[in-house]
Amino acid sequence: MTTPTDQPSPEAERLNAAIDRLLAEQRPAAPADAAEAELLRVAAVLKSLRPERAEPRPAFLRELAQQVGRARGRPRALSRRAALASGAAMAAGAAGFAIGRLAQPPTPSPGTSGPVPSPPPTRELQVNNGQWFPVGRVSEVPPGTAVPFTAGAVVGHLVNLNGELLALSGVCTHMGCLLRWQAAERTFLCPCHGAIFSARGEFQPRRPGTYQPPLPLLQVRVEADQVYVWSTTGEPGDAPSESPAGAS
Amino acid sequence: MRMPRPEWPASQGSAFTAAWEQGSDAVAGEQPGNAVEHAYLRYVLPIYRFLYSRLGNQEEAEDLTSEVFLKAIRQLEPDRDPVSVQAWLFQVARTTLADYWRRRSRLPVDPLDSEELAASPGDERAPDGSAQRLARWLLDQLPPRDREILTLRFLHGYSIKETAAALGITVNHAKVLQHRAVQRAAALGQRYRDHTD
Repeated sequence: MTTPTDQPSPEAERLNAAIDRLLAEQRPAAPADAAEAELLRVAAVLKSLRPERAEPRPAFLRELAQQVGRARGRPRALSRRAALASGAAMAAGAAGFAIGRLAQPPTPSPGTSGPVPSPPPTRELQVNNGQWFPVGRVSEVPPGTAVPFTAGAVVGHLVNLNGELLALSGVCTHMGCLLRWQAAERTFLCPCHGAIFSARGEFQPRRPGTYQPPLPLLQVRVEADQVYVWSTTGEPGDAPSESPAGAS
Repeated sequence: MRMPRPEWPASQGSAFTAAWEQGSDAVAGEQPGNAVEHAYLRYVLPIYRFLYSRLGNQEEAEDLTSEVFLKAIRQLEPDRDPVSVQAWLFQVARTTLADYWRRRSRLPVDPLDSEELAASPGDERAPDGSAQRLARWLLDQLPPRDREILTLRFLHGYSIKETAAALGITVNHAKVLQHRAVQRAAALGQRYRDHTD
């Protein structure tokens, strides 16, 4: 039933080489003719049988974000927030986090008018060129839940702890991955290395001896049903220019 | 040799792309001012995955993803509504793919793509799934011998040597059988299209 004397044709050899390339996530050689092109396309479809799918490389996504921004002629507009999202995989580095740093001594929040439902933050994000961003409605965050928000350059979660409203940075303090709210456990999980934070943003060590800083808090203000978070666009031109020279 | 019925585990993204998606979800619906950034963050992965499902490798899928966004972004009006941005990006992806096949193979048309693509604009994950559906359908239709070799090679990612060893045949013979199996799959693909048209 097997015929060991069969010699593969050049076409069979070329197809085999192309399949090897596909399996290595590499571009196969250009097909010699239309018939071969058809076989390559079927091979590519068959490749989708593989359970793993090669995702784009993080470096590729970041680079393309910049290219897209440049092509648009507004490089900053894209790069900041795209950089924040791609801060996901990078060590936080400059791009995403120049925007805000943990205040060293807990600064008392300067006269925020209106009710402030949370106690004075102790791990507050220091925000230069800040402004209040509307991030949602109180009614959208029932007690015991968290919803993601974007306030200017900062991505975070609004958490309702039995009536107490917190705005936590949504970025893991280890490597800058974006945290995921686990509704059942009421914790934040970092998809990169599995770090867990409580709904208050405190690091929950799974092994003794490990430590990560807690999640930075942002100031929250509620007016009527509307929730505001104090943040910045991260773009000197877009913020009310109190110290335009200071932001670089 | 009897192959076990293949399992079809769901595709899994990397931790990075999972975080990216989480991020793009967080960004979604906010700040209508920047449609370009929004479109990129939100659709770069769906577009990449769609292209990947057609091309079967990261290298080409990344190249064409770049092409799609650089082409699209120049024409994207800021006030386009999100649904039409998505449909339009997939449209750009389709034509980019068709052009690419034409450039590479001098083929007149792009038959494999036309039919499932019609289903794509509504659901950004649909195109990805439909390549898999087509692949499974092809395997089901093929004679057992073809199914075996294609399963080993594509689903399990065996080298041709490992495939030959698993089937108890020579490497040369495995190459011949593999070639025939893919040819038969291509012919079936043609029939599949005829049915669905």
